[in-house]
Amino acid sequence: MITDNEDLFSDLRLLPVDITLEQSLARAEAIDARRRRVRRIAIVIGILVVTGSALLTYLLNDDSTVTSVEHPPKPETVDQYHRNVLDPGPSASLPTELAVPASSSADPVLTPRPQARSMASFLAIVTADDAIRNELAIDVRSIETIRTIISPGDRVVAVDNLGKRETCINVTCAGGDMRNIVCTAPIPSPVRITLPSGGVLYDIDRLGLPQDRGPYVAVRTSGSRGDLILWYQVDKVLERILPEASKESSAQQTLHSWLQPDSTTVIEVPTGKRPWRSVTVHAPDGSALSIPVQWVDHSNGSTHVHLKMSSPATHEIRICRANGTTERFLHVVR
Amino acid sequence: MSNSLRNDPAFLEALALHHDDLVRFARSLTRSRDDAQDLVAETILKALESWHTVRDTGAFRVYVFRIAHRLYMRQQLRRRLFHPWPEDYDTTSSDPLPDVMTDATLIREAMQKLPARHRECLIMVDLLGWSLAEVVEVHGGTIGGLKARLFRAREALKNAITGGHDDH
Repeated sequence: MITDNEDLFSDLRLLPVDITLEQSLARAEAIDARRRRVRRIAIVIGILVVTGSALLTYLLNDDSTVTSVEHPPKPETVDQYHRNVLDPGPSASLPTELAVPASSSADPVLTPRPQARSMASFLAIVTADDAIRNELAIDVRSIETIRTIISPGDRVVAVDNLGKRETCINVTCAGGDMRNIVCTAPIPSPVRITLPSGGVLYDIDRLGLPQDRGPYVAVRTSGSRGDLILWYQVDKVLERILPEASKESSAQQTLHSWLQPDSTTVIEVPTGKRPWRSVTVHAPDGSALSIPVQWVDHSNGSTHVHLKMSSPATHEIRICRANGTTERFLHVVR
Repeated sequence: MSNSLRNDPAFLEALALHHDDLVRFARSLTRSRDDAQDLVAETILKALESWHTVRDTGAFRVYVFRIAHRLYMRQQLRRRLFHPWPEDYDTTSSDPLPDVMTDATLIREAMQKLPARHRECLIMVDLLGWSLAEVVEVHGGTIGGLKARLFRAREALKNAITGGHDDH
């Protein structure tokens, strides 16, 4: 029986305390030591996981700059390069337009290049000032490095690395090896580098995107051995940087052109009402070139201009009409 | 932590004053000596972390028991979530008197049937002799509420001991 006044806890109070202060402190220290150990292990695991995932991300996104070490650049003089380019081999003289792949078989992603392309008007070349050079991130040193190291059969390819938000310029050798040259923030890369005379130093293909179809904007910049002309394909970024030139260029009409088996380029030009007096070929800088030209009127109202020229070049064609007016247009031979 | 645990004489001195009450409190709340020792050790570690904020050493008792109360409530919650099965009651003790031991064991077993907050009130007021105001400082609430809780707790404890057949 339990009464209201009965002290239920008297028995508990009589019990001696069976945990001493020293035991409590020892247990507290043991718990603390265990927690510290667990925390240290967790930190080490965390560091390992972060480092491992960073390394994995780096390896997955890397375009392998190691390759460039394993395959040192092959030095070649500009003269040698031009001799090789001016003799492009049998593939360049095949008869049909757009049907002839000029790419290396080791790179199936790249689409065939058009053999010849003419634009209905010729644009004034934009001279790059500091602002344009900055906006377009023009790296003359890299351009000249590529010019030095590439060999016949090599292709220069711009690769967009979305993971790292950058664009890398690679040189793909004829054998399939790839060398990374330079990487920058994603910017429009030129599709062709020429000298002011129109001679092509090299073309730059854009991996994963259709090959250039024009319209083009030309930007002239100075290099260590004279001026260079960088030919850009108009896109949204270029429209922002060079709005006037892009707008003017986008309004152009593409002319039909093709290569013939006799290494002659044929351009189909609407004749118009007034007869022609002369057709001349000029370098982008305006200097006249001694390239033989013939034109043949057709009954469908067009004129076929025949140029004895099949090597890669970018030129200006000037057509003088009988009334003294001159039409200028850009002609690109791949 | 270990170094400062041993190297803080003021903390050790304050702790030594209330250690035995803290152990009684823990022993009455938990089901085993091991659990009680863990609760006391955790309370000491936690108390040392914020020891520098206790300006009045007179408030140390309330400070330490408030920590013990919160840790115990957290353990209870964790136990309900992860270990819902009942545990065996630990009757081991260093007590040399078997009859006292038996009665104490009976009361402890009966206490385990009470809700945790009722158990705590009973221990603090009836076992450790705290004032109602001090208990309110630890648990929060009002003195009126605490009195009602104490009444219900005492009734429940008596019923638990007698098995609901109290014929007083």
